[in-house]
Amino acid sequence: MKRDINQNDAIWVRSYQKGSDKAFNKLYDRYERPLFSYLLKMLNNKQIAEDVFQQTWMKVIKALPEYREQQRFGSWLFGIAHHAAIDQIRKTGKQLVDEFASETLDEIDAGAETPDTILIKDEDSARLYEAVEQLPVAQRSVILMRLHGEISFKEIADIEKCSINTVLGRMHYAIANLKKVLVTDTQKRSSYVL
Amino acid sequence: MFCKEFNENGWLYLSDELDGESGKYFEEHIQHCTACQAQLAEARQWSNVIDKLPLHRPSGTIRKSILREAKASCPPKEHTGFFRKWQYSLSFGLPGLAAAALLLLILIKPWNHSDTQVVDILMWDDSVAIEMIDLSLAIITMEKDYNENYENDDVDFLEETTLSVFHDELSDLRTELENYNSMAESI
Repeated sequence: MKRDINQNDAIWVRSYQKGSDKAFNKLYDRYERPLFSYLLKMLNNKQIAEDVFQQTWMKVIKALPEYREQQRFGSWLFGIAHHAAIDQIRKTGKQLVDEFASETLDEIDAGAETPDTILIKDEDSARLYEAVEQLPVAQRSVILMRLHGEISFKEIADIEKCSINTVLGRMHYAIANLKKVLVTDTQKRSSYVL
Repeated sequence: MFCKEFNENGWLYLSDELDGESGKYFEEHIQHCTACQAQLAEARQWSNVIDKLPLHRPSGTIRKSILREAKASCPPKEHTGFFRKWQYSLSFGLPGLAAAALLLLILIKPWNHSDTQVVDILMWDDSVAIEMIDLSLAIITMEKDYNENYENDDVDFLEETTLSVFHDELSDLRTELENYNSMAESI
């Protein structure tokens, strides 16, 4: 069962526009952790993630009185954060293109392993976290926006100004690459034990 | 095992983004495609695993500074449609006010009506009606969500703090709605 978060967001937005500052607190509390986690994993640096997080909310506060619900609040918020994060990554001179773009989807073979077989212990969430951080930016952004931000693939395509097929391709690459990273990591660990 | 159909539709199906025809087609396809069934099951597992990654909070000072800025930039409180109408009536002086009050008394008899009926009756006054409908819808949605979450014992989904904030907002809206009714009755 899932609450209709979008409907409640729209209520808080309208309430804020009508002068209820408490309504903003509810929007903030709802998105604080998913948005900050998204930025933290995108930028891999707590201080920079906090700066971008703050800039994002400042932009939202400035624009909110004129916001007219042409898109979902969550999608709008993540869109602002995503572009700010990409600007920040550009400043550091990192590559934004897909590192695996030359491969076709059929060529990627990450083996038959599933999360159940690769990640079986509690401490594996830390390994998965590290594996997500190693993904190319474009893939990381899709997987995190979809799974942490609950942004739909269509909305991600709008945010990233690309086709939905590109977004789905990145999702597929992201999962395949996560498997590769985790399987390699598992093999390394096994060899240490032996 | 690999099926191209999954690349095009699998993730969209999982995230409930396939429209009627495409959704139906994919559902029929997976009935007999073992590759898609396997990929779908695996995609579900990955979604669950990533979804369970711990979420992080920024430092507490950031929260305070953002909320302070939001409060400072909050648009001034709008007078309700009802209040605006009062001001409008007053600008026409007492005769205008008396006529408006009489009309309300004849048409509404607000003391006899539930919130929903008041909304129906006030349809002739669009600004009041919109305000009332907004409030009523907000209350209905919140009450439904609130009750369902408790009935289903779905405490994982809504944290205790969110529930309490939710309840406060419901109470605020109730008070606001009651204020409307009191204003109508006072006429």
